[in-house]
Amino acid sequence: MAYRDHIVGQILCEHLIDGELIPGTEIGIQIDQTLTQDATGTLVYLEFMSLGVDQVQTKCSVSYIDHNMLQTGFENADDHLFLQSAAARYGVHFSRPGNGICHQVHLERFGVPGQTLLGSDSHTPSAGGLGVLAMGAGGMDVSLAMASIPFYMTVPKVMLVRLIGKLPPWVGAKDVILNLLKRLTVKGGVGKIIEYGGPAIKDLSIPDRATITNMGAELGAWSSLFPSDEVTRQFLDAQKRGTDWVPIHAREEAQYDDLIEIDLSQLEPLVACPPSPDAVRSVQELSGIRVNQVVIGSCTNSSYRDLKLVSELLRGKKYTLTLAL
Amino acid sequence: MLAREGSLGDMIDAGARILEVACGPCIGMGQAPPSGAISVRTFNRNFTGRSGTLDAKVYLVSPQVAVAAALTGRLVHPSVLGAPPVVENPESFLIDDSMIIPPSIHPEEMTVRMGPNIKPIPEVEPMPDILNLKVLLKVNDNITTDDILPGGAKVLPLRSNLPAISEFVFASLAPGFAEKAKTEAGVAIVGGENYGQGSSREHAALAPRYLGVYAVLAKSFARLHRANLINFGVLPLLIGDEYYEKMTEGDDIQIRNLHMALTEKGKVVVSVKNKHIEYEDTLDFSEQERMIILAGGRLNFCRQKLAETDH
Repeated sequence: MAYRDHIVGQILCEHLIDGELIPGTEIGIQIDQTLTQDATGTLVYLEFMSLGVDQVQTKCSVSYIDHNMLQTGFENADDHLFLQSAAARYGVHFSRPGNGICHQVHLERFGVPGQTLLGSDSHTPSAGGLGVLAMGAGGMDVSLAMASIPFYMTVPKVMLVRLIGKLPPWVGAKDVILNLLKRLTVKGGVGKIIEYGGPAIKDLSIPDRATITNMGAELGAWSSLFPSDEVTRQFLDAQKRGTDWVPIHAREEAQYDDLIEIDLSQLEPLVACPPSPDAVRSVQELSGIRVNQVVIGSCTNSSYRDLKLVSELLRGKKYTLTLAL
Repeated sequence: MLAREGSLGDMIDAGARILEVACGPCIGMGQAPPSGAISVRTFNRNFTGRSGTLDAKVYLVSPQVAVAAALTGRLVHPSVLGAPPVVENPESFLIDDSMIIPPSIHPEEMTVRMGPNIKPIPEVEPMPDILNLKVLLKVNDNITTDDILPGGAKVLPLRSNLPAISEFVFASLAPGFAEKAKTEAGVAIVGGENYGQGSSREHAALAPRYLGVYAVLAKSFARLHRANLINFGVLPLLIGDEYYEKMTEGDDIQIRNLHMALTEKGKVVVSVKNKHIEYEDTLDFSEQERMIILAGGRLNFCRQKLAETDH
């Protein structure tokens, strides 16, 4: 069956519990991993507790504290303690406040190629950079997944984004996804999962790939993901998780609902203008606009290499703008 | 790792203000720009007001363009900075998982700590066969989940405290709704087209149910809110223009024969007792939705299913 030839189909097929892989119909799939952040997580664990299940049934569930960090009263601090104690009680890993943003930490320390991940945060598809089928969902769906209840979804259309060519100097992964947002708009991914491929992906590191899949959420896509290849293996090795690696590639005969090709050598630095991530123009077009504040970081661009690059560029320099990292 | 290598020091030396490692400004938690400011960020969203400053303009860029903006004060091609630095990914990362607490090896000895602002989700009884409800509110078309339960800094911290957050249900559209609802045995809301559009927040269904809202009778429902109502044990019932016009706040309505109607063996009967109106209707729900509504919500339904598989 053709649907099982691409990566999305292979992963869905392996996790299928209910229904058939016919696009547009409903299926129930098994969820291997879950992640929660604190803003949505408290309700997730309250819901899980009311299910009366003794321990989470997933292969791995992680509870992160990264959203409501300001402790201007007892409420957020109490929420953190509740989440920590619920994690200990029900078999969940707990990432303490200060350890990092959930998607970056999950990519580095937990994501496993070929597995399914459901998260109570819309940018959960970041883990797709590793070849994880990662989706954001409502809190109740995540709590039910922790109790081994299948996640119900419509069999999605699959779009292939084929990357060719080599990125010019000063152009990065962010510019790849901004280019795609310009072409497809914030509605272009609705009802779809976006799969990346093509000869250029071997030059994109895992954090670069995660920058791209992270912002697939802005395209409205269910999820976005890359193959799991030699780059993936090297990244997991560097994270001392080499044993988590498995290769995943689309079969040659794979057919897609849509195909887009991006020649990376033709890209230039891009800017998404307010008030929408798809209002994309080149930095050259906007050149000269005065800037009052610069903020670097977030789940899109805070990998080691992103920040190392920033520090290399800033070394020995001073400026008067507000820069927050 | 960046700290050990001195890179963090380079950034601080250059004048960068280093924030706690978290989502922070990306979700409006601090670093709101000045009024009317242009803020250049490496984030993923730039919707109006998300930065915390309503009239600020947020431009999304790569780290390279962000640094160029920081050093020149303008949006410019980063090639003005000279030759691009060569930064490779490390062959091995400095691994330190000490900030991740693994699951306990003695989970049964762990107790869940619930501070005064954290309350368990109350039990919901299965859907009764007969509902006697007071229409406490009639609203127009396109009511949003913000209208049903506002977001914002005052309400968001109460997300784990259902009794407290419920006080804000319809707080701007119908002040006093929560107080009135608590004095009634059961409450219904009458709505127009596209009831519950907007953010998919679950609290917009959970909180009204806590106040005793058993049914919403509307001309049509927004898809996600309709699912949330069913998930939390509220009956979303479609009504036609005629009965929408006839129903008013203060009406006593009875919805009966629900069990037969939900098992597709009969029709539901809706009567407005104080107006001598009565009509029958079929229910348009999927098989799964019917079972969830009968059980009193998806948590109840799944709890029953889990109990069945255990035995």
